[in-house]
Amino acid sequence: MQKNIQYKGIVIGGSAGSFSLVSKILSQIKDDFKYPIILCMHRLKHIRSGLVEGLNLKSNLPVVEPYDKQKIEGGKVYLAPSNYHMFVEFDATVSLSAEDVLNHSRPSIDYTFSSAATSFRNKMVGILLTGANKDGAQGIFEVHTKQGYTIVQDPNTCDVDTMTKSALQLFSPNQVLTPEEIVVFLNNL
Amino acid sequence: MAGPTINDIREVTALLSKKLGMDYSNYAFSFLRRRFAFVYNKLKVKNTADFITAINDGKILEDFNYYFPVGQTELFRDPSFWRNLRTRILPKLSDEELVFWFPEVSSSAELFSLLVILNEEELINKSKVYCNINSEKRIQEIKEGKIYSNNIDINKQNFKRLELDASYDKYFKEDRDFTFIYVDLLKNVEIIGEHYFKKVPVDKIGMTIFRNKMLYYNQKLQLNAERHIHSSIERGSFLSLGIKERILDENENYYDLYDNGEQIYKVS
Repeated sequence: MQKNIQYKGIVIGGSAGSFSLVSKILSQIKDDFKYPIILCMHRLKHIRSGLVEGLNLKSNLPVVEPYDKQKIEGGKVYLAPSNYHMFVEFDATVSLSAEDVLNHSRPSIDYTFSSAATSFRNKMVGILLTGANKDGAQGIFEVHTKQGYTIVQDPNTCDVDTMTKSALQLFSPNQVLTPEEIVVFLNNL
Repeated sequence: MAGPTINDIREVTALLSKKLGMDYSNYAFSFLRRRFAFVYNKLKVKNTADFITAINDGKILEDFNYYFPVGQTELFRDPSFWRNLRTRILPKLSDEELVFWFPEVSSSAELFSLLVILNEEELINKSKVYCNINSEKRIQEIKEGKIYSNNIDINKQNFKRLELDASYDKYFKEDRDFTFIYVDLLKNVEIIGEHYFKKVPVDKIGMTIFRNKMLYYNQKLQLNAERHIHSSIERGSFLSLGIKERILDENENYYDLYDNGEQIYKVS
């Protein structure tokens, strides 16, 4: 990790099964965490509410489902809304899209990672968590190719390791960490 | 996912604006990058140079108009919106205001969804629905009551969530990759074959349905679109956006929020 770098954002991707893990990370993250966290999780299309409320119950940081063109601010968690893709724009805003599914997913983790890599380049951290399909692998690889800092959850600690193993077949991330180590990493940024 | 470069996009949008008489430069950059890659793929164009050649030859402008706009990929997307429309909005519209406007129809999903709701409420015979569409191919599909659909199960699930008495099969039939609506429902649909910035309906509009269209605009274009629509419809009429869209702060004096959950506004 580059020391003293001012990151523009932390992007986390995981499938629906990563909910408890994301809850755990957000419950243990320090409450003065200064970077924005952009969170893309696979979720049911027709269930609009529940997930953000559930995460807010545990999280030390406020979790919001952003509107299109909403400004990204430090110390907040931005959760991709149900049935929309979520992108990071150059002007540090979120944009949403109802375009077709990618990798059978909307929101697609690949899209979020890819757009963040383009906008933030080396000033981001990408973290890929447990997941049951390959969506997210190509996206975090793009973070890597644009010199972003990349972390993949240790597949031995994943409920389902398809997503993380797909990523590890594409490239070698900066770190492969357990959930506990991911929390320590974030709190030391 | 590496799409065209910034320079490619600048070059192509400038050319398209000249050829089609519309400003394409004010879409969100990430969208243009993605969408041009999508269009290149659909048109089997290898790169920007080939695309520019084809535009200059005039061969692909109609196909561009067909593929570039993003359409809804499912019927009755956000069933709660359609339930609210049925139970809360339609009773507020008087007979003379049963005029609907879709400023940008890029798939028939929203139009067909509305027609079903109107028919169920026995309002279809006294309704008028205007649609701006600038693709001849899309217009023909709508006249045939046809929509490409690879989401039949989702369509049926959404329909079930509407809590109507009717069955899905009353309105729709499937044939391979397409879903067909009974064309009788289209009798009061009037198509305006131009972009909504160029031509708007002359009738007094009761409700404008413009959901998930401004997602792809940048701030400047969204600002202009909201003001243009405001100037085209009467005070007190309804405007619905996508559930994750909002009227920009700069335009908050033009619209009053009527339903926060469904992002329905009233023109002020």
